Amino acid sequence: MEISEVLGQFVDISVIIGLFAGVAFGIIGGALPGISPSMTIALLLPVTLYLPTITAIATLMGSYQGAMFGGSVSAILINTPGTASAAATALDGYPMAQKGQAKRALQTALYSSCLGGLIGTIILLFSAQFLAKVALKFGPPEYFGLMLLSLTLIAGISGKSMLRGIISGGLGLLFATVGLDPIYGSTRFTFGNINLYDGINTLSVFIGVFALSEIMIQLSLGRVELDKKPKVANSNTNRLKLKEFLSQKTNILFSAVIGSLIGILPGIGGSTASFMAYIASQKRSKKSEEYGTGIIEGVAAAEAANNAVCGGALVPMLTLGIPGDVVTAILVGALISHGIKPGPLLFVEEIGSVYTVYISLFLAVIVLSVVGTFGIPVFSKVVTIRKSILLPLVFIICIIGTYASKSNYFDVFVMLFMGCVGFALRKNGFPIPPLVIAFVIGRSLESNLRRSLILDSSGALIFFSRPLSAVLIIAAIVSTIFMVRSNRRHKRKKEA
Amino acid sequence: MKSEQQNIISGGIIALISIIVYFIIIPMEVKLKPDAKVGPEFFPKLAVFTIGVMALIYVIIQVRNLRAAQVSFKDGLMFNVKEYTAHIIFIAMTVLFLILTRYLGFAISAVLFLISLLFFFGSKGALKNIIIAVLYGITVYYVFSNVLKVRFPPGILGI
Repeated sequence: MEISEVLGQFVDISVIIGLFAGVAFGIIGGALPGISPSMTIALLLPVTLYLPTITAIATLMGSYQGAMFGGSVSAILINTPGTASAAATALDGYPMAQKGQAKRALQTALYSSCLGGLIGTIILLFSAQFLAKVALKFGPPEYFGLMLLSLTLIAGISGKSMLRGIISGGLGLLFATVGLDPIYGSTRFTFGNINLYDGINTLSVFIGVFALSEIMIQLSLGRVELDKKPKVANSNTNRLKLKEFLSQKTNILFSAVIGSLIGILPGIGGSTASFMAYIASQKRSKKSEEYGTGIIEGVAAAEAANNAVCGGALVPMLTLGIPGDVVTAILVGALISHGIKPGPLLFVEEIGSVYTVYISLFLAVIVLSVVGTFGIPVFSKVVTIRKSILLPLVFIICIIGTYASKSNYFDVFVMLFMGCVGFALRKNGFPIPPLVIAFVIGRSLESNLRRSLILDSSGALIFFSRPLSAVLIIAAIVSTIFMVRSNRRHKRKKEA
Repeated sequence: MKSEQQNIISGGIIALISIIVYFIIIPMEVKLKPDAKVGPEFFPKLAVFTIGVMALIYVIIQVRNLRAAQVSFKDGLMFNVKEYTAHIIFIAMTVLFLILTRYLGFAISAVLFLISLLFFFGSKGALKNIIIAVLYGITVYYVFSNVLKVRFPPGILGI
């Protein structure tokens, strides 16, 4: 089947409705903390089983792209990442909203998501089979190298003190070790509680350290201050200008490439991709010191990367039939139920189905830009609500969102604990991003490190006996040295 | 010099916790595999060791800064526990709410909790607060339970 024939099938009202409905449902699901993209797609799945194949795929791809953007809405407006992938967006998005630039932040997130999504789709289109072969060469040492590289980048986002950043990162790593040991399955820090066997719920950590700690910081302002009407910035500073957005093209392109490449690697996911893109963007930028204070560069990098993950994640799914994460596992199920079997033969026997996925993903991005553009003025009204009303409403969402992810009140107590930890750290000047990044990659870092050491009798030499892992580890060492030196230089400049 | 004092206290607490975790909690809470090449305790020990060493270095730097400013703890502790009263009450209210949900169910306790939070955060107008709490609480409960199919344990009224 030719691509033009497949394209013709998309000129159908049911497909267009499916795309719009999927994107809208995805944005709502993604924006609600506790409802992950995988949960959003899983909720849509039963409906799509009754739809024609093309409409079903279009609806699912629409909800996938929508959910990846939706997470940024709550991250920007209320510092509560709706999805794990949107945690990096909150770093600059929320400070922008605090400055009265919520609309500008949301517009940056939307259009960066769309561009990131498009770049991810293009990468998928042209390099799917080649990239899948490269991804297969990644063993535990290579994964460890990649994780180590991400971890060393923590130094770059440690704010004023690298020591505080390392302590914060260490805490993240420690929290990641709670639960069953990834190699032997023995219990660690579970205190006899079965709820901790699976580790600390990621959402409890994100919502706790970002949203709850923020609510507690705001609470310090006092009741009178909280009941004041919020200042709203004038429409000029609260609107993204085309020139301003175009200045982000290189940032978006780089971040989207990072997102796609990370997306291809099974098991890593959007949150690592967006943090890596955020840090890489900070390192490249001339305004690196302003990251975290509310600048569009940070939002653009994180959002471009997390939507580009969608295209990347589909590479191993379509070419090898290997779902790299929960979302693609659900998508595999959906495709199989429509008679499409992902795997190497798909490209030979059913190239039309491959085109259907590509075109759906591409159109989903376009529909996302339309739905998002109309939605932003509505979403941005949230910041005009008095904090004395908004904070309690947000807190209820935090509780219900944390509970919803596993239907377990224990996770809500963990969220409370993490909120107190986040509050104590922030009050004492410890940065939160290193903790979150280390927590996200901690488990994978540990299991790949130990697997590598167990695999080879030469011990740590295994990391340097494989070219790819050696390159990644050397890059991690070099980047650490550069960052320590640049931090010292900044400190000396300030003291002078 | 409040910040240096605060930094020494926070760094000291982190260092102390690291020592407790390394020497007491890890041996108690991490089941060891004696024949393992790289056992389950390896990574937690590595993380705690890093935190502890960094925290000690941090404390030493802060003590030096405090000395450079010629201030000591004898001049008085510039730390006020009263600053955190609101936070303690807030957490206590939340814990009480979570306990209440088991008996009253999520919907009813959420509405009651929301009313008390609105007052606690300084929102004026009793009627306004009650209307917001009822409408919001019920809407959120309906969306999560009926649309998103999240199951909440039922309370005395079955919701």
